[in-house]
Amino acid sequence: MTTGESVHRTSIFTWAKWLAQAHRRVPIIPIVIISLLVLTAVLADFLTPYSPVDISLANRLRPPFWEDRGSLAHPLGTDPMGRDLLTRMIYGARVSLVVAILGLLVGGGVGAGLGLIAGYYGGRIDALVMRIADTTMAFPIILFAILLVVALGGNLATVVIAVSLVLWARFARVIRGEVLSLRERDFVAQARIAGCSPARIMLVHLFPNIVNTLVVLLSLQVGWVIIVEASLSFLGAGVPPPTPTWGSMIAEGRDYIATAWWVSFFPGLAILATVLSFNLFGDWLRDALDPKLRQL
Amino acid sequence: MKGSAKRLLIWMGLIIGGGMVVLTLAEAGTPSRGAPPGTPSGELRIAFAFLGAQRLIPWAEVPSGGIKQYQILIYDYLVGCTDDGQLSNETGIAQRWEEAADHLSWTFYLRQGVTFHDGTELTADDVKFSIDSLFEPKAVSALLGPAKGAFKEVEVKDPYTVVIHLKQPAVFLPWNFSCATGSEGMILPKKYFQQVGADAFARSPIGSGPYKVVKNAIGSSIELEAVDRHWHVGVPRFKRLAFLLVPEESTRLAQLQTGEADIIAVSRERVPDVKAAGFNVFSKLNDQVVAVYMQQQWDPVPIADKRVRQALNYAIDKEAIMRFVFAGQGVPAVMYPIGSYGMAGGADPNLEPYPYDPQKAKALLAEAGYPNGFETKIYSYVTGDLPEIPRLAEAVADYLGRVGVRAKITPMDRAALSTKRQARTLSGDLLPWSTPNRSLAIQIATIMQTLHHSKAIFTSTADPALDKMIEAALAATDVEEVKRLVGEMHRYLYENANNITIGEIHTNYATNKKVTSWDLGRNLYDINLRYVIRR
Amino acid sequence: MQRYVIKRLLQSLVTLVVLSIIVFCLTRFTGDPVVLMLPDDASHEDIMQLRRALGLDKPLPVQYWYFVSRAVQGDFGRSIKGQMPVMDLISDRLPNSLKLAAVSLVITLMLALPLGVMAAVKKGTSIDTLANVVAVLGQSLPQFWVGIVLIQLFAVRLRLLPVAGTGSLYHYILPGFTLGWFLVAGIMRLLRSSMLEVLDSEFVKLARIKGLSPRTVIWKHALKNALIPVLTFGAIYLAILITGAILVETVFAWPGIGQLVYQGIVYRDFPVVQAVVMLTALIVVTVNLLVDLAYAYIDPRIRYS
Repeated sequence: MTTGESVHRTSIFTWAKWLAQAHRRVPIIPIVIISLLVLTAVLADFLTPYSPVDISLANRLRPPFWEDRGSLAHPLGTDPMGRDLLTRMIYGARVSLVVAILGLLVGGGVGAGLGLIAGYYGGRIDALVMRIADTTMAFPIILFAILLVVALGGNLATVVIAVSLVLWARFARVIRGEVLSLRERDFVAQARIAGCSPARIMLVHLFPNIVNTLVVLLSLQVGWVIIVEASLSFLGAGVPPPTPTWGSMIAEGRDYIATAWWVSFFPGLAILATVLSFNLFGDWLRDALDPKLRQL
Repeated sequence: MKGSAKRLLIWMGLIIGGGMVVLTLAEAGTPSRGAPPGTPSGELRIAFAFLGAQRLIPWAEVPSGGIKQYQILIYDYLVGCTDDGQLSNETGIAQRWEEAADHLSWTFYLRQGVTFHDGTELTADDVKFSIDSLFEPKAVSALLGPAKGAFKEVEVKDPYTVVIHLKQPAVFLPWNFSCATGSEGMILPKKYFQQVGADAFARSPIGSGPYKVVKNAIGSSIELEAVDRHWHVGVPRFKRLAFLLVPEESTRLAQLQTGEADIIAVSRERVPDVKAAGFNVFSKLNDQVVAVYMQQQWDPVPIADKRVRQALNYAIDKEAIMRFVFAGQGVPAVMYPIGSYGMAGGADPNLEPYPYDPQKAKALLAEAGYPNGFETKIYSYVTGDLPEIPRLAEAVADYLGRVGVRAKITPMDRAALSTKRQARTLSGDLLPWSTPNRSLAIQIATIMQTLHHSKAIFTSTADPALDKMIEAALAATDVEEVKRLVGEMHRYLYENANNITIGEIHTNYATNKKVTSWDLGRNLYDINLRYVIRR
Repeated sequence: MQRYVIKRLLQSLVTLVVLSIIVFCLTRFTGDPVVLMLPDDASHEDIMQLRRALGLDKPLPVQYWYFVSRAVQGDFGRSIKGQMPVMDLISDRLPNSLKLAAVSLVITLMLALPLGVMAAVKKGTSIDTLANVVAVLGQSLPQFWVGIVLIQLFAVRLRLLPVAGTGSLYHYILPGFTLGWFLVAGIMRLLRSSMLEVLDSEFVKLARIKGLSPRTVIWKHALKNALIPVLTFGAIYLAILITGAILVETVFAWPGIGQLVYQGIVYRDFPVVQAVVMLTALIVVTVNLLVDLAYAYIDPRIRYS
């Protein structure tokens, strides 16, 4: 079926060439932060002696260690239920990451798949997929999520579903656009002539060429997912307590902004650093792989 | 590239310049809609977390949830009330009322000269109209309770006398129409209402209270203006009142600090901070009673056993929860739903709250056959009037966990929970809830019926002995008898530990210098704003 | 072209119908508004009576038919909780949402335009990165957090702006900025890449050769053309701003339709939720339709695909 790697627009060598070129302006700080995040999330259990959920009411609202009532036992202070803030942030990293990964896997996977199919077949299928995508895309996610939480109960699964339901449309739209322009190319025509099934064409020929776009999109949407999770927690529709998530920690702390500022501040900082890092990383990735990718 | 750099500078200059213009304008003018400088402020601005549907027709909305506070300024009640929850013949339309010898009718004698905001006089016709409206199919304020079934008809004897005929005795009838309880007693103008229809009335209502409605922006605010002279209040202290809907507490606090609001609803958590910032805080003490329901105690579940229920009560450190979950703004309670106000209604003053005794709890659990505890669910939900519920659920789950009862925290939205309660699909589960502290014996009997009579929709118990007591209390024709039965029920509930009682909590409002004294009173659902507007 | 228009119109209609069914079912299966409206001690008869009075006892398809047949005439029924026509509620709140959305869009453009142009013109330099960071910052912070912090800073500490509510032009500034900052990154990126394309194009090169000053080239010729995709996205963004402002409305006590529908969901006020959702969908679908039609008009290839 394949007639040689030169037919494909992308190959391992092209990847390497592009990465080398972009190496000049690698965004070191974002990459470091992202790696830290992943490490923290994975190693959470080993990083802290405290439990993120056990309540210790006598210990509540202790300030960070550099303030009067603070101590190094709780470097970033404690929350209104007496739990160590740093510990909850570490475990919160895990939750944020899990929500992001699951949401992107499901939403991105389904979206990319549907985008591939829609772009390849065109016609009615394309129209159907795109119409559904359009409506879900600009539909306020918050509204959607609340409705879902109300219908299904508030838990991790519901948040992931809500996130996926909006995310897939973005992926579908972009991937479909890519596929539309790709399918008229020679190598696809050759594959068709050679008798490849549509599935094979999509998976073996088209998919490698959209990986770039997919990767860029994935990295850019991580931040969005984390922010949406925080917003849902603010409205009481996110991952429920006692599970720590950065978003619910900020929501919990908003009543103490003037007095126990650390409860909201540090998780807010964590979100800021993480999302900013992912966004900048995604930007760089896009510029490195294909600067012509606009509207991302 | 000098040109681009210059352009950049110009853009930045424009933005900064524009910003400065805005700032200077902001400083020159008044950013908040307060009074112009120099004149004494004739306006009082109150920020609430919710204002209800703002329908402004008393029977169209349940009086809980912050609605009565502005309705009570627009309308007068048939029967008045004192600040501490007793009836008064001074503050209501009725000067006098008496029960017939055969207990089958009540006669209300109205005072004369009370006028509505449009100048027409309030007469018995308006009273009859208002009471009759309570029986419309769409009326939702159903606090009439047992009296509702007793009604036969309302008769207008003369322009200032109303007789309510009953099918059976209703000893507490005047209470039902007073401001001490719900909103059923508010009097609306018959002619105007029938003339313009319900929708138009809701948009610009007319009452006989000390304030008339100037603007009702649904979902945003209600603006009231004082009448020239009210027959009881006299000349109100503030010319204008504004009720603002501000759901976010940090925003309300900011408004208090900048003067955009003079009174704000403040959560229990924030009381110490607000006091420290120099503002006044006024509390309605022990306003709500908080507990954790044990659902469906008739099912074959662990909580069907009295010992288990008692164990769960011993397992909770109420003091700690009051101190840490409710910020010290409350005290432990004896047995839900009867709170300390209930002493006036016959509750037993000799009972003490269940002490914190985890050892005893474990012993009782072992005795009941659960030496290793058991599993259950505790529901958690978000509601504006009790923001501590999620933390309460966490704390309760934590304490129960220490005696071996593993309660899984299950968040659900309140509407879905209500549906499940009705459908009776919460077998053996735990549910935090609250209810107002009630001082009237018949009200206590009514809430007992709602929560514990086997035939009630939301009941958690099916105990024939309890049913009998409740029915007897509701049918009694003697006030003292009802009180006695309330005491009996109180003791019975306590013995059988039918609720995991937590405590009674205060409701707080923070004010600036405009309000220097305020008794929030003990009337149901009310914070006694009439006190604030009196001179 | 006509066939394309008709085709798209039909598709939009189908979308709306499907959405209406989904929302109709979703709200009804998750809770009973009557139970929420009545006090705890309401009896079973009270509940039944109210349900009958509100028409909620009829079978679902009948209720759906009532809803649709009246909705088409502009009557979305009466709010269950407020017992008043839903259209009244919406017509009270929608202008507020529209006004806030408009101000937000203006603020967004005021920020995004210079940032985007600068980033494109100074591509690759630190100014490019800086502009990007500023824009992306808006997408890296939760809106409610930004709002609360801004209130603390500008209203409480500095006393420069009002805290919340409506009333004067100043009341628009903080919520408008909070709402709009989120979109700055998207528009800036769009403008940047489209500027880059235009700056690279033939006619700009020609203008440069002709000797026009760089300033004229950038601002008069390049920007005008670069703005075209931005404007089309602007319409979509406006729809997002109108429909997705609930967080900002909560924090700033802004009486818009976001709060309306949130309360509707909490209290299972079906008519309100249905009406707002359908209205939202109508806005979104219409905007998408117009944008697609515009593109189809410009680029004939799309019509025949």
